[in-house]
Amino acid sequence: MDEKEKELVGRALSGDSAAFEQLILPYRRPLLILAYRMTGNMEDAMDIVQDTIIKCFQYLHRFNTDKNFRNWLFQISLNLARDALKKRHREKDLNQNCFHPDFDCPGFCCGEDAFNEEISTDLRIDINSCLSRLTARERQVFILRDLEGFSIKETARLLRLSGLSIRVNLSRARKKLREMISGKKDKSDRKGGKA
Amino acid sequence: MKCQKVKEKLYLYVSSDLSSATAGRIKKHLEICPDCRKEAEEIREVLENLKLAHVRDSKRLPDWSEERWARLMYRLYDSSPERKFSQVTDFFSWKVPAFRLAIISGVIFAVIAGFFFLKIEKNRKDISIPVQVGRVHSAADEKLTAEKNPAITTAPRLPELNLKTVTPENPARNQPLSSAPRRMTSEVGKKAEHLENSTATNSFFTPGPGAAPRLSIEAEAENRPDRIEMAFTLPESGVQLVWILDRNFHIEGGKK
Repeated sequence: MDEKEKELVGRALSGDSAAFEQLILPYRRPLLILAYRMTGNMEDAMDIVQDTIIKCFQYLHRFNTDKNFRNWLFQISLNLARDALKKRHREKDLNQNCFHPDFDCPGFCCGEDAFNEEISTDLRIDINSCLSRLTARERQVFILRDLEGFSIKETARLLRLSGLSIRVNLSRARKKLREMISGKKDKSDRKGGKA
Repeated sequence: MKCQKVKEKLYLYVSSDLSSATAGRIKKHLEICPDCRKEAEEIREVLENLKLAHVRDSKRLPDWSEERWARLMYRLYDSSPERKFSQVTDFFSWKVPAFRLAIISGVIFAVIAGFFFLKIEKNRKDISIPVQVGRVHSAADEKLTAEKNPAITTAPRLPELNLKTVTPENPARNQPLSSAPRRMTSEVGKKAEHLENSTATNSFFTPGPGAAPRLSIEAEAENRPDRIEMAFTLPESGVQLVWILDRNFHIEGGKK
């Protein structure tokens, strides 16, 4: 945690509401994206981030300033996202919502506009659809490690899992995603050859 | 290392999530195995594409509307008193570790116990040989007196049957102590005066309306006559026994 954040935390604790807003503002967007990746639903994500900020405001006095503020914030958000998923039985809905009937292999949107994207491959990856094919734990591990860039140790701490468990789930998630993408690529190549 | 084993570990190798020893073995294998090297490249490419897709998709996601954000901030500022309240209740909520509650209850118990102990100790000190003028000591009184003043221990133990004390004429005795002329010039006398005054506030041993005022043993020794006669009348035979005692209750003689 840098000095500026420490100072903002101190000011926010002494009742400076502007300091709190300044403290939370840089994380507003990352929190929203994380919650969206976890739930696959923008409205749920908004609610989770809102609850995260409220909890952060209420329990800021408990925060240890020697630790990373971002990690603490993400920890709250992850817990809320997991609770929301459990409560609303989102796991099942998420899989159904993100399924693309146009394609045999889920996780890709190979519409005409997809070929105009700046991505090096000729495939446009629908990240949410890909994530929906993973188990809840694999998805959480993959999002934190690969998309958010946390280390294995940090991911383990955030998810309250062992390092070994994180490695196993990460390896499985990557394998599944690669199989999805490779399978689609093969199909796309075959289609291109026929044409 | 076999290709099968290497391929399993490639998913972690590409992001340097393996131990240095394992990573070193895989690196050596990749140098000599083009097939595994190709697979490692493919995994890297897939991961890169996924990250790119994530970044691109994130840019397209809607952000907070200013109105919604302002509403949230307003809600937070508005609930500031609640926050202060939560800080206070936090300590007493069940989330607080049990040992903290145990410590608090222990301290409260210790304070209460200490208070009662001190009160009892104080009362015990106040008892300080409550000898009453004209009253004959009981066995318990004697014991207590002996603890406090060994000089008194020689006093004889009197029978408890039909006991009557006869004292020589002493006008000071017959008057209330407050009005009686007393020799309070000595240190002992002053102490006695002080003790007499202090007994008025002591609820435990405040004498009843008919009881004589209490004096300490030293004060009474000062006021006691030089010679005491004690008469006992036995109800069966009607015989009267008289004991003659000195001021320290030492038996000087007796008569029938």
